[in-house]
Amino acid sequence: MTMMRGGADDRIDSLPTHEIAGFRVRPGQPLPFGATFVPGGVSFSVFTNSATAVTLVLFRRGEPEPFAELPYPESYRIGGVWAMTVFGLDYEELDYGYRVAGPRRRPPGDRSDATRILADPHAKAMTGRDSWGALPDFGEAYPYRSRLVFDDFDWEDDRPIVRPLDEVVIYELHVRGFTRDPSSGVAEPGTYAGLVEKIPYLVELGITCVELMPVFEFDEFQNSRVDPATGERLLNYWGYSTVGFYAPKAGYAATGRLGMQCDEFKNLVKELHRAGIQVVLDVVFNHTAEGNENGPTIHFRGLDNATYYMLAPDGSYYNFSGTGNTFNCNHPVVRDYVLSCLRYWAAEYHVDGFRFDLAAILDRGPDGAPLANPPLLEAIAHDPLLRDCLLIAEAWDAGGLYQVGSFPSYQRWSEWNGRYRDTVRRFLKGDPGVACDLATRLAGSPDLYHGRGAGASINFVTCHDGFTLADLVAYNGKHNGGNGEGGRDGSDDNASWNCGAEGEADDPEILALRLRQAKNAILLLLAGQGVPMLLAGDEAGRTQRGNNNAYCHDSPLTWFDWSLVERNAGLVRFVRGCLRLRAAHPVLRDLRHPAGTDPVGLGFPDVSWHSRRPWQPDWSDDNRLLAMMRHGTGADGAPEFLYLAANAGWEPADLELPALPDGTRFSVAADTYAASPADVFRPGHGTALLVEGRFTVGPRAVALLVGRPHRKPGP
Amino acid sequence: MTEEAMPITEMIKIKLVGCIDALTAPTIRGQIERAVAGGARRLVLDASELLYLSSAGLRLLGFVRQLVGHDVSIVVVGANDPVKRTIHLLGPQYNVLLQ
Repeated sequence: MTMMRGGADDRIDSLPTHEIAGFRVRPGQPLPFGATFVPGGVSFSVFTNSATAVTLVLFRRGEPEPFAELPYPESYRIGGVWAMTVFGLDYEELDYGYRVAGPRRRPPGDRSDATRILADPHAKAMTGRDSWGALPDFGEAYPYRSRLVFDDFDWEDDRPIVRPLDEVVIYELHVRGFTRDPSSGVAEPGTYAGLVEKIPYLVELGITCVELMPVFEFDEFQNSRVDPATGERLLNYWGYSTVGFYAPKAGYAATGRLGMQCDEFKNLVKELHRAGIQVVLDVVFNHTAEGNENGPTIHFRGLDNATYYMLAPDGSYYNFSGTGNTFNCNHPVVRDYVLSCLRYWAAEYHVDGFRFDLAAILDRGPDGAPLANPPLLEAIAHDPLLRDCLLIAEAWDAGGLYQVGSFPSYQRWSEWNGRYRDTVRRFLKGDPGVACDLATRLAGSPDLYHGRGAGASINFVTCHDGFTLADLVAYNGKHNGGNGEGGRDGSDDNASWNCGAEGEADDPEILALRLRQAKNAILLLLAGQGVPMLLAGDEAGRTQRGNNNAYCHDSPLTWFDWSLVERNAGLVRFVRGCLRLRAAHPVLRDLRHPAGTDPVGLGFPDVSWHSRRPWQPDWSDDNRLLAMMRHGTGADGAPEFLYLAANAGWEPADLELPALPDGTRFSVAADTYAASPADVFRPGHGTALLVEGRFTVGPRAVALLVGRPHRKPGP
Repeated sequence: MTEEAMPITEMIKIKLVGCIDALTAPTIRGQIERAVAGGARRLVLDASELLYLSSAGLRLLGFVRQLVGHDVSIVVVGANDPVKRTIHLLGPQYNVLLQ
């Protein structure tokens, strides 16, 4: 082995003190946990409360058998932390892991097993699934190996983007699916590098924040199987099953085979930031890839099962995640682990925020009971490094805990507003009795987020979980046959409507109605109060052919078909136009809940409700017409009125508009009933009303009018 | 691995040979440091005999960029396809030109 010089050879601790298995070693640095470069060597520090002995296992990259095993001397342990510095390693050709021996008389829940090699939970990179979809050796005893990572990176002047919530427009995307389809035209399809090539598209669309579906290392072959009907190999495509919490998914990197996934991901973040786009990571701390009693032993289970997982008194796993185990997030050790991990991604990768999958689990105590003041959520909310990060909770779990509107927020957390999604969907499909609830959702859900502002409400109509927008208006029910689960998976409560025919159709009337319904959803989303989130591809009509749970399909079914951008150019243009309107009108973005006050002094409240007659909203159950007028100050300081009319009925509605102050007139900024390009106008270039003071909103249509002081034409 | 430096007026040409990885990068780094110490407006890295560029090798480019500053152009010539691909994907951050 070659002795590496670390540039600080004059340090006392740069010299070895012992030799173990032919390697020069000395006591390591207990903190930080994981593998850390120190002068001349690497300090390997691992926590395990239950171990009686720990051994560092070293592999040459890719070789099946270890080339060295170094037992930690007992004197290298402080408390439950074992730390050893090893000198003379070839950093780039090294895989490592641990063997952990437990006590002979096992306490309940102990699963230590010295015959297994465990991955480092703090590994900054993991190998074993370096190239996406490359068939692994399923008999491999140590399939997910820990690797060393150089953490230096030239960020230049990059830093996380701090942006007011009212300017955030989230775009949820799957790194691989976004560019994997050949139609993407990128040089490295399905990778971080491929996504970089599509940044101009995101900028042009008007996106200010991407939310990346899981990019922590996972095993796409977990639970993989072949669909007997089609022969297609089904994978864990979404990745909601983390193997390496500190490691970016190597298979998403064009350079993953070379071990450069960390650099490639950092480059992606840097380029997104350069374009003014924030990066939010979808993180999965509610469970791990180790599954239930029959799952693989990867790391936590062998290190300290009873600490990392919520266990029943008999040692079995509580399963609030629906995946077999539940991460014990409010145990002090695990809390520290999660917090450290988040800080690492914020500091090391400059990410701008996190969306927490099944976040309700994060407020359960070790016995599974919800806590009134969950320490993990509080710690995250007040952490100095995370201070400017977006914190978004999926405020429910698979154990029945539903906390939309009641998730402990500490005035920091926002939530995926599932109720917003359900209400908008039900209104659009024409369900009775929804107009009143729609009003509450359009106003930023003050019933749910009183005192927190509409910034707490992440509004969405579609997300990765469920129908795409195109499918929401084309299918009454799910079509998940290809998942091979006999139709048992995926929600049966989609509040979708196929507009007259199930699935593919060629009836022009049906197609026109579907397009209009999609535009209706977009306009309601982007003109309402709250932080909007779009699902990638919805702007172009991406379909999954009715599959509302496409977690296992790595195929054109889930990939973004970029030819849609051209084929559905009108829809793309409409979405872009609505985003322009949202950006141009601060009143649309105002995150203060309605207060009933007159913000400008013209005698109009900040928010008012209307129907066919102004100031006379109809809250009856059979009403499907609602108009909301918001009032405030425009970007240029002039008073503005934003009038949003939504008609879910099958007849047009003739509206008498509220009388505006003298000299102020409405113009039509967007109207989903109009054909493209008259469906949306550039800010400030709306079309005049046909009849002053009146507007007809078409059947199943939504329109946005802008009232501003009328400028007389110049000479 | 060998390396040779040839000052040519305002250009310095350095030949990279063999593999640049964690084991060899520190040595090459020292040689480049010495080669550019006199200043140059253009640094040409001849990669025609460079077989492999690892993560540590890529970092060498970042180091060189910081060393010479942004007024100096860095050009890599003659790289094989794997090296070219690595630089193409991850090199732009260091403003390295490929020829």
